[in-house]
Amino acid sequence: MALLAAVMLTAVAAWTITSLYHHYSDVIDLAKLSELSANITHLDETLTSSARVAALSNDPEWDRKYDEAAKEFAPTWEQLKRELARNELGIRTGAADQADRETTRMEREALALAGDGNTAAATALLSTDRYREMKATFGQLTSVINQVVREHIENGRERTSRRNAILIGTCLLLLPLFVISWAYALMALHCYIEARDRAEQSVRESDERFSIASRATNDVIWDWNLADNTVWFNEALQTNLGYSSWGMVNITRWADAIHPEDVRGVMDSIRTMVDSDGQSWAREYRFLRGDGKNYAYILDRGFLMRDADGKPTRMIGAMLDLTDAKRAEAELREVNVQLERLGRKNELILNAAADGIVGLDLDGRATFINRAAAEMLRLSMNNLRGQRFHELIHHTREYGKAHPFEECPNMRALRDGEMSRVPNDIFWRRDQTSFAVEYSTTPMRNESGQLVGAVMTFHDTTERLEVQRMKDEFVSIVSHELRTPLTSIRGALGLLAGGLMASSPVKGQRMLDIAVSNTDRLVRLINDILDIERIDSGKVVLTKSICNAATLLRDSIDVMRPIADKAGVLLELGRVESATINADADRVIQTLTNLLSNAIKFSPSGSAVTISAIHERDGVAFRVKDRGRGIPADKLDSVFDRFQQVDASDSREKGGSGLGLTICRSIVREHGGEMHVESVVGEGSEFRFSIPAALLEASGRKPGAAPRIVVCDDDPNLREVLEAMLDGYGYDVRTAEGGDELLRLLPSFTPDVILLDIFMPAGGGWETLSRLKNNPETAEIPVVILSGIKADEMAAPFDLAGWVNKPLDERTLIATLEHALGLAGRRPRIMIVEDDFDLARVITESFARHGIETCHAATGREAIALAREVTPDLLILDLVLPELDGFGVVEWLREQEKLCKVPMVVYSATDPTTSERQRLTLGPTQFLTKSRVPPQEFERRVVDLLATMTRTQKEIAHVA
Amino acid sequence: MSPKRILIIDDEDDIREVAAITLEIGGFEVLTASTGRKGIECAAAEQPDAILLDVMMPELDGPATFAMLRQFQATRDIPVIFLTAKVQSADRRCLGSLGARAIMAKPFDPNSLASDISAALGW
Repeated sequence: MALLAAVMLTAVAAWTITSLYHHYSDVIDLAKLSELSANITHLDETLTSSARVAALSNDPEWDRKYDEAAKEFAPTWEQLKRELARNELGIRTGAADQADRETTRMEREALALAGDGNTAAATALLSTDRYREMKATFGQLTSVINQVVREHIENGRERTSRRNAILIGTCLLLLPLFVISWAYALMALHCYIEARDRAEQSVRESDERFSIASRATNDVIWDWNLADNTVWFNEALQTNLGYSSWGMVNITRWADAIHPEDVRGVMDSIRTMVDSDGQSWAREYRFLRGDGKNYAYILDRGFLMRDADGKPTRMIGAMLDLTDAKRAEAELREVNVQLERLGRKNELILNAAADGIVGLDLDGRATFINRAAAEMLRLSMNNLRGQRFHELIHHTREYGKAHPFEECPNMRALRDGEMSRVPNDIFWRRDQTSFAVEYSTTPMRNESGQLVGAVMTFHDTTERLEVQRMKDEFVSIVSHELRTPLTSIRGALGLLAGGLMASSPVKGQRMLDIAVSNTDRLVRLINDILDIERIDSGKVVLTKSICNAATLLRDSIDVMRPIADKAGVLLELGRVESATINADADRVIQTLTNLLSNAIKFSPSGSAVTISAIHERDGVAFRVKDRGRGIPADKLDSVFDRFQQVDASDSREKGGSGLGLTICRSIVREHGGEMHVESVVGEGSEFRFSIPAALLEASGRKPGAAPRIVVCDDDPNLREVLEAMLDGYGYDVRTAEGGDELLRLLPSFTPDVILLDIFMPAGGGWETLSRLKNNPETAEIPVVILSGIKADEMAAPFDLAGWVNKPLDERTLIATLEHALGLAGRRPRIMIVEDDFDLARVITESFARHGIETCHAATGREAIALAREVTPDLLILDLVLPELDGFGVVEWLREQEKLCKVPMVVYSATDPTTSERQRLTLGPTQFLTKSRVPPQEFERRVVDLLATMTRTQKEIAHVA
Repeated sequence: MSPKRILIIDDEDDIREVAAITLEIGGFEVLTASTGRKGIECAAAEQPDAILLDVMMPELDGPATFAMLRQFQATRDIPVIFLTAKVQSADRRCLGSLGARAIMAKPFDPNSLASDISAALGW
């Protein structure tokens, strides 16, 4: 198009220039003009002369000549006139033309006259002035023309240059247009050509670029010739997918490497694309790596080329290895799962936190509130909507003064991004009661550090403040209590030291007495304070053993009897039931003597103090009753508190520290018992405390009841020793010196076990045994033989519960007896090693419902002591124990022949590690974690385990 | 000039005894009472020149006794000195606000107690 325009423009320009040239050329072409002028002059002269001659001669030849000339004259004249008119030389032809027409008419007349023979008239006509004038006029024209021509010839150079100037000017004028148009045209042409070239070159370049890119890229590039189904792969196939270079291969090689599950989909998708006139294709599939084992996740994208007929010819594409991306994606997914889990965990953690945690937005509205906060404030998320948290819980200060939000320390966190901590403040619950809190508010910022809110954590300090108050009070009281005897000591000694007593030895002695007695008081006080602190903080380890309540009672009375006698108070034994307790005997005696001491102090002379031990459902209740002045009802609650004597002067009069009862109660509580007091003013007081029963009961015995035993031996010394020993172990002991006495005893005293000396003179052991076993009423009583001969040397005709050799080994005897007692019922027995008394009790009770017996040890050392006496069917073991931990217990148990295969359940607070588990395994061992296995579930599992176990045992027994 | 008479009110027998001997040696005439109530009765009856008053006592403690002494016409003007084992600053501030002439700490130095009392009372 541009080219066409350019061509047209060129034509126009050419025409213009040509026209101009021609224009100037005509003016300048003087030759033609002068030729025409000469011709005209010549013709004019010919006409004139031929007309004259004809007129004179009337010769027709001249007429013809005239006509010929006239014929030639007319067009030449016309031509000249045209030329003159066109060249605008300023030469008028009008006059010449008129003169021509006049002379021609006159000549034609003359010729006619001459033809008529009137030559004279004809000649005369042509000789007239008019004719001459006319001819001259016409002739003037040619001379003008000639002159002009001459002038032109003279100015020829100038004219030429003007022509040239005009031409050049025109050319110059046209040139830019010309240039622009042609430039444009050429550009258009160039563009066309370039486009064509570029198309060609781009194909060339793209091929080149393709090959460079193919080499440079990490992606696997392929080029599939559909005509012959060959495909070329770049080097990335090698570097990325681990193939040795393929170069040009058949497409099947590629298809074969696609995962069998994916190959069909891949092929189908290509076919679909081709069939649907598509151009681009993309597909994810798994592609075998060069190692022939692993698959890479590939994103393959291809571009289809078709020929002019639309027939597919070539397909080029790139395989992108997505394996890492996929893995990252999977990881991200996993991370998200983790995050979600973490979110849930965080929520759990937040909800498990004991502190209240509240999330606040910038307006101070709560966006989150954890369980503790909700409970403390008696709020739920629903109560929070829309309201500022401050208005809900923090609106009023402690003494009723309004607390505006602007003054709230939380504002600092929200407005200034500063953390604030307030140790002493109050929050208001929903029911408009308040409580003391300590809280801190931490600003929350997002990743870019912009303040987005705050987190407030708080806790109820009511209890802490109370504890603090009590502590302050205690310190104050202790300070006072210590200073009081010190005042006397300091005063008395000061007087002596100052020599002020020198004059009065009696007063001096008195001062010394005061100093000494107050020093004693001070020592007692300090001991008691330390004692109570040690017991309360658990630093005093009770050395528990199995002891008989009655024994402890008797021992205490023995200690206090001299004091009672001195005070004239009678110590009286009330009901004393034999019962076994697992207790620290010294501490129980300390408690009893303390109570007795108090009772004696407050008893009027001549009155009695009664002491008793009564068997209760789950232990033994000790009672100390006096008939003193009693305790006022309002003091009953505080009588066990520190330094809370009913009358402060008591401590002086009665020599107490004011801590005795507090210590007593602490000791009892350490044993898992409780202490109470009942009192009527004027009648007396009764202090009671309970100590839980030892949990090593054998079958058939009531909990807490002592196992009954009859010791049958002819040796009175041995009988006495055995009685004392067994009594010490909590047995209810009867003795018999021979078989006859034993049999007499039995109807009134049914023992749980009989210890029988087999070699006795009167009645003989064997005979006695035979009588026992043959009597249905006594046949079931387990009998343990006491003998100087080893069991395997004897053929025992009866089913014996045990055999103990003389000389006696205490431990063996007790173990055998326990074993014998256990045999009676064959109920499964579980030993619980657990330092948490509450938990132990819960477990004990839950197993009692299943008819399972339990025994309990609170420390590792106790567990070992207990395991020596009792062989449990199952051991429940806590790992963290005082004295010796669970690992130590297991280590010991593993060395015991009887115990190394005992099934065990490790019920610990934390999960033991694998190596710890190996260290812990005894018999069949299960590991249960306290936090994850709730008590009911724990109970079920242990019962199941026990059931499986006893079944197995029975089966074994049957097979045997 | 007859010796100044001082009433000691303290529930601790030994302290009462030591203090009494101390002040007697120091040249005072000493009266004693083992409870607040007895102290007030004694003060009203005997009109001592000063009262040395223990703080921690059962039933009627030092401050209560002091308040009652201030209630009665007969005892209102007798100067009172607290003699106390409560030596923590908070306790002292609390006692100080009651209006006693002085507060003296237990344990006391028997060799200076009499002169301290005289100094406190401007004798």
